Amino acid sequence: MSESKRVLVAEDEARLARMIAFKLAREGFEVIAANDGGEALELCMNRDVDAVVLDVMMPAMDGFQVLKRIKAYKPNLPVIMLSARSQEKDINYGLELGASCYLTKPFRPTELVECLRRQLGG
Amino acid sequence: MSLALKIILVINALIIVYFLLVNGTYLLHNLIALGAIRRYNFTRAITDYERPFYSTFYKPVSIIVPAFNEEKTIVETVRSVLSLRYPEFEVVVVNDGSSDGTLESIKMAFALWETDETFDYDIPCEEIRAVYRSDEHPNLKVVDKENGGKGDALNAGVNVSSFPLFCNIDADSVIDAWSLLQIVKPFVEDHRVQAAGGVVRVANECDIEGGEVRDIRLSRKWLVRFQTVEYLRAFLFGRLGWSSLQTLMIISGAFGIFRRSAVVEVGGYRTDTVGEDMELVLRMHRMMCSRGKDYRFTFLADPVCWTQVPEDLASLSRQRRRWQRGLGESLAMNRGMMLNPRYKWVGMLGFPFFFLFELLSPVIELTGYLIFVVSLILGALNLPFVIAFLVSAILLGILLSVSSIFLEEISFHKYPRLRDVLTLCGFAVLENFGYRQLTAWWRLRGLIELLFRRRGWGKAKRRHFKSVREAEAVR
Amino acid sequence: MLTALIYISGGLLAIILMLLAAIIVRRVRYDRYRRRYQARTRIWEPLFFSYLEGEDTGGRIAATLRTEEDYLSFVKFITFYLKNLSGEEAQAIADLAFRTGVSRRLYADLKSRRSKRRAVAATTLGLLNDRNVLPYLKRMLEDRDPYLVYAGAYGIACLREYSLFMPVMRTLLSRTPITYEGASELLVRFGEGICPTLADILREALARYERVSEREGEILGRDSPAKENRLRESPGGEPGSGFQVDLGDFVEVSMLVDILGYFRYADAGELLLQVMEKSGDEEITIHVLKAVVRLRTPQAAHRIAPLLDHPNWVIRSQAIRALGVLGEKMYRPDIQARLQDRQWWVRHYAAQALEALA
Repeated sequence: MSESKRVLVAEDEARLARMIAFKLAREGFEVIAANDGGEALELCMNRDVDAVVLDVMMPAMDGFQVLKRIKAYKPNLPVIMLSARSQEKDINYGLELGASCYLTKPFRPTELVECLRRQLGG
Repeated sequence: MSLALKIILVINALIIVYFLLVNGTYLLHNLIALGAIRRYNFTRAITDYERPFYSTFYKPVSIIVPAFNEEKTIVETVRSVLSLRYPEFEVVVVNDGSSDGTLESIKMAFALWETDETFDYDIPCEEIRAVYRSDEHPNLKVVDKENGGKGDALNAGVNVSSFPLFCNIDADSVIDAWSLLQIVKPFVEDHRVQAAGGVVRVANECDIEGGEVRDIRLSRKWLVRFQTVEYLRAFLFGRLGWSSLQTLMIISGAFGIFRRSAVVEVGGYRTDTVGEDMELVLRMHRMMCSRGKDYRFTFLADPVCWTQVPEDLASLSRQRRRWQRGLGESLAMNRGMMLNPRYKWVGMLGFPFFFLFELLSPVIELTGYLIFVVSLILGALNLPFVIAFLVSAILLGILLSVSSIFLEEISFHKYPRLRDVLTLCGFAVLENFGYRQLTAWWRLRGLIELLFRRRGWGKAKRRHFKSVREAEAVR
Repeated sequence: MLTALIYISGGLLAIILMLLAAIIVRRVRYDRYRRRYQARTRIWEPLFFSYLEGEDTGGRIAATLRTEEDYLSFVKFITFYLKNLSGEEAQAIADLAFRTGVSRRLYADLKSRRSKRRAVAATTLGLLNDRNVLPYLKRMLEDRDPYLVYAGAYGIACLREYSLFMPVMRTLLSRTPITYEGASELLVRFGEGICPTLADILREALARYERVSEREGEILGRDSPAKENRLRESPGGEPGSGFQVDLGDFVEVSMLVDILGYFRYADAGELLLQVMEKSGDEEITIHVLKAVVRLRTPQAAHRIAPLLDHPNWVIRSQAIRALGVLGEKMYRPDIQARLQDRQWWVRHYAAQALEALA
């Protein structure tokens, strides 16, 4: 039995964070949570993380900045962006910066899981 | 009864009538504000802007931050403004010929370089020496210009701004990250809106980190507590009341948003008054009315601008005197509006009210005290009556303030601790025993200064925002 | 006089004390309510998540909904998720609302005497995708209160009831003071299905305009007085052009262009270009340029190139930007010439476009 993949969920809206964590856990992932950009970055660097679910609208450091820095240190780490910002240019910006998927709210949690599985190869 | 006594009695009666009118109108304001709040709660229930989603169709906004000798706080302010949540906006910082390191601090913090960008002087202003941009923040523009005062700095900012709406924020204010989205909403919901104002609240002692207000606390300083009550009464519900009557005459210089074309058309801010924010709004009223345009000025009670209020008597005194001078100048410069039916509610109701009950009130109030004392001495009035009247007057004042605190409770309830709210009620009582008289005295001085042509801003002692880290260091 | 004052003082004091009491009582009640709500959500959350995972039929949640406050709190609870989720999960929540009787109670609320209750019920039912609420939403469109009109329109748009699209648009623009941006924001919730209708409206307007200008074109020039008289101040605040859509009340063409662009409705590419050329209106031109960039209409570049010399710098910039995105390399020299433009933004966009075309 393969080790379950560890996913970092960085979402400052606590209810959503808990929901995503619940679903991912049920789907067999191990979940660690971050409340803001700074914490997300720290956890990314210091812990062994296989994928990141990143909200764009977070206090202190927004998701794009976090994405930039993650990609600078760990370019192969899949990052899925989740955002209320649904404008084209934000989506393109996120994808340009290296996000593997960009989901806009309202979103389908099923899609999130699908995207994760695709990125983590099964 | 001798003639002198008769006259004194008449004067007393007049003063009492005046007093009833003033406070009666303020109470009426609160009642009207109550209506506005119920409307606000209603729309909040059905539209839900807890966490506003971005709109795809929006109007881009320029945020103008005039700065003069703000080297201590300017970088923090600009950072917090840059982190506002809004789809598309630019930040225009105007260095109004500061004599300290304001420009240098920003240059270093944001790696500025000088641009050869051209723009039109839509509004005349003092010479712009240079415009800087930043690679890291492509939506930041910094204008360096010759000193010309706040109005002139704002005009320069408008000239350099390229978006249809502009928002002016004071360099020492902090606005919530979502405030911009909220304050632009009126411009999306209603095409008649030409300007909107946000509310200013007292930030002293609040924890502000990363441009976000984390904890809202009541200051321990008595002077600040008095001002907090005042701000609730006058700046929140007073303005909400006026706005509901379509008679909004001031949009705070600390947090207001305007349609750029309207401001350019009216000629921009005046540079020869300290009350440029009110003066502009009055002039805009005049222009709209004379064009017969259907227009609206909105006051929004929710997006909040947090600002440091003076903590010492000297600064507070200077501020209040300056405000009174600004009020007088704004009214004088637009005196054609007084009781002029052409200007509808503003002309017939708002303007006379501000003239009689705001501008002249310190004179009448303080004269009132004097006359009362004189009357007592001369025996025109008997002691029980005077005491009874004073008690009623004070109770009326307390009612005014407490009702404002009550309105705050049923609407925005920003103070999470009941203890703070009750403390405010206590100060609502206390303010009638000295604080109000003090502010009346300062306003009287301001009025006198105006009549004898004192100009300018004076110096205010600036304080750092109390960031969490600082507080921890102290502990 | 004295006694009057004493009574007044007494009255004032009484009111003050009442207000103080009200403040304290409200605060205490609100705090208690919040604690109860949090307790409820603590119970509901895991049950709700389980339900969404298909591990639960919703029975356990239904069992917790007994009182009025339970029901209201639960509506508040699920509204958050309804606003953030779509697809299967959103449908599951709608099913849950039905199964737990929440839908039934919302319908009961629609008949409530309090307009706030009605409005909340209507919008919630709209969020729940419950089409049965449509007749009620339709009635809200005719309400006196512009907020209710908006709420009704919003609900109808979320339910994607195309048959009501025109009434919604008409009502919004004529009975509320909403701006075009605000209206667009709401109208796009109908989904792409409205594009053919919008294209038809534009086509009709174009045909009508052509007929009119054919008659008057030779006699009147572009800026002739007769045309001025047809200028109407559009709700956007700027003077509208003679080229407008007549729906009883004028609708700004730019708004329709924006929505077509938003949905990338490719079929409208040619139509938009014609509108731009025939109207000659600057505002419309800018909107069309922005839309065409999203539509990627083939051959559009050739129709846009003449605008590189337009007197309005915003149009020049947008034209340059469009050419850059459309990728038509033959216009590179023209864009290069724009590097000497007197307007900074034009030069800026020209440089960007040249980079894109490299």
